[in-house]
This record gives sequence, structure tokens and C-alpha cells, in this order.
Amino acid sequence: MELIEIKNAWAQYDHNLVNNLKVDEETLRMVNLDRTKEQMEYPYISEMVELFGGVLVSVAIVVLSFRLKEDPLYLILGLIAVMVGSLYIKNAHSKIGLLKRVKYYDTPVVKLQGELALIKKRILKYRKTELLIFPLYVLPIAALTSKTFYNVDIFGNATLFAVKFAIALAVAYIIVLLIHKHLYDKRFREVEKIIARLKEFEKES
Amino acid sequence: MLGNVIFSHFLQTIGRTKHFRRVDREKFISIVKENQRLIYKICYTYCKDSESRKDLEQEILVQIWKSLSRFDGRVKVSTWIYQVALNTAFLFHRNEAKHKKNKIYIDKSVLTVADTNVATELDERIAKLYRFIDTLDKLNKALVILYLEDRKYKEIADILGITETNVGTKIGRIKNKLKDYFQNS
Repeated sequence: MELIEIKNAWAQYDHNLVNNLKVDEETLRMVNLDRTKEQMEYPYISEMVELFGGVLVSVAIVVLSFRLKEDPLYLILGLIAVMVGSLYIKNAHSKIGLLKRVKYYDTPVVKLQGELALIKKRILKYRKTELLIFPLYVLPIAALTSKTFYNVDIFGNATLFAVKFAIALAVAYIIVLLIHKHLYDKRFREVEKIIARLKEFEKES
Repeated sequence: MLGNVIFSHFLQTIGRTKHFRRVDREKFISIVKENQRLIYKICYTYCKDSESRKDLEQEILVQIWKSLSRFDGRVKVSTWIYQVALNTAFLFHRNEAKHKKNKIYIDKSVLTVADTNVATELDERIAKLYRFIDTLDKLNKALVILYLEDRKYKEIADILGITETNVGTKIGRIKNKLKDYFQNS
């Protein structure tokens, strides 16, 4: 079959559709056109939650630390948690900026796919960093809350504290590395493949 | 006094917005009607089963509606519709669980085919053509559809965001593949 015949068959198919395809206006009116539940808005909402959640947690940490201000060790823990929290807030803000930058859908296909892949790559980098610092965020918060609400002083027995802290940190980082390996690194490779595929498509040879 | 002025301005704004949305809605329906074949063919190209096709069709309609206010006429309507429809198809993933939970899609197709022979593609040549398209990746699927639709290289370049020379080279390759496929299978 020659190309011209293939194109003619397609034109005939198109012609059949002219006569047979109809827009069901009643159904069209039933479609919620203004709905916001679209896949691209989920990451945006999640980052907004991270941003405002980060601010709230930081405020709570500052309050807890000042309530325990007699013990400078807790103040230091509070400071560490706030510093890590600030990094989360800064990252969430940067990610929101990235997500807002994209002009979805009415952009040339290769350009949009490329932009989205690069954004995904940068967001994955942020996520990897965030996961890496997560134990440094959770452990001080756990210490501050146990002292405030349960009066458990982790510094009461320095040796025991050091052992517990080291074990907790080691377990946490094993989990972090496993998540990196089986989730983020895998996603990272997938995005790299998409970027390579798009570059190949853009090449003129 | 000032409150009344603000309130009346607010009512006027709402009235204007509603009026524009109504005008937009009419414009939207006419755009969908004019481009229904294009939307139908893209859904058919990117989704194998009828359930996914129905969802993709609705997703494309939602994105056309959302992009309508940004459409400034710098490109042809068909170019813009192709961009929106193809980008939506590229990003569309049907998640059955989410689908059932959220019920964001209605269980009816907006584009209906009166003659079922067209829908089931009794024409073996078209069925074979779709089988060929199915062997390609997403980008080349878009390219072959645009080629079959007889779009100019300039328009294909604008839709995909690659150069005209590149479009020419790639279409040349696709033509050869297409020829081989129809001769050897």
C-alpha cells in the first residue's frame, strides 16, 4: 500500500467522522470544567502545606525552646530544629516558584515536557535533601516535646542519651538511604531518560 | 456610602464576569464542535480502552476551557487545540482507584459516534494504521497524526516546538517506517 493510499484512507476516515461524530452538548454541560482536581495542582497544594506547616512547626519549636530556656541544651536542640525547618520552608517556597513558572498545556509539546522534566528533576533533588535532613528535624522535636509534655529529660543520663541518639540516627539514615535508592534514585533515572529522549527528539540529525 | 459604592462595583464585576463566562462558554462549545474530530483522534491514538478515552476526552475539554482565557490568537486555533490536547494526552495517567474515589469524570462520552462502524473502525486500513501508531512513542505518535492530518511543517513545528527542518527529517523517517509496515505486515 502506497503512502498516498494511506493518506486517502485517513482522509476518508476523517470524512466519515464529519458525518457521524457529534458533540453531546447535554453531557458537555455536565462536565465540571472549573474543577481544580487536576494532577498538576496536587504537587502545588502539597508544597503549600509544607510551607505553612513548616512555619507553624517552627513557631511551635521556638515556643517550646523558650519554655525550656533554663537548659541551654534544649535551646540548642530548638535552634537546630528551627534551622532545619527554615530549610524546609525555603525549599517549599522554591518548589512553589518552580511549579508556578510553568504555563501548562498551551505550550509547544516538547518545550512543556522538557520544562516539566527539569522541574521534576529539581524537585526530586529538593526531596532527597529534605529526606536527608529529616532525622535532624524529628529528633530534636521529639526531645523537646518529651521534655515539655512527659518531663522526660534525654540529657539526664549523657551516656544513655548518646547511645540512644546514635542508634536512632543510624536507623533513620538506613531508612533514608533505602528510600533514596528504591524511590528517588529510580524516579531520577526515569526523569533523566525522559530528558534524554526529548533532547534526542530535538536533534536535527 | 462608600460601602454602597464598593458593593455596587462588586455586583457589577460579578455580573460582568458571569457575562464573560457565558460568552466564553458559547465560544468554548463552538471551538469544541469545530475541533471534535481532532480531539476524538487524539484520544483514540493515546488511549486503548474506551474508559480511558472517555476520561482523556473530558480532561482535554477541561484544559481547553482553562486555557481559553489565555488564548491570544497569535497561533491558529487548531495549533492551540493540538498543543492543549497533545500535552494533556502526554500527562494523562488513568488511576482507577483515584477515579472511583474522586469521581472527577462523568461516565458518559461527550463526543458520540452515530455510526458504530466508524467507532469500531471496520476499515482494516485505519485499524492497521492505528496498530502502527501504537508501536511508536508518544512524540512520534503526535508527529504521525499531524502528518496524516496534512498539517504544514511550520504548524507541526509550532505545535511540537521543534524546527521545521527537524519536522521534515522526522516525517521522512516515519514515512519509510509506515511504508515498510504496510508492505511487510
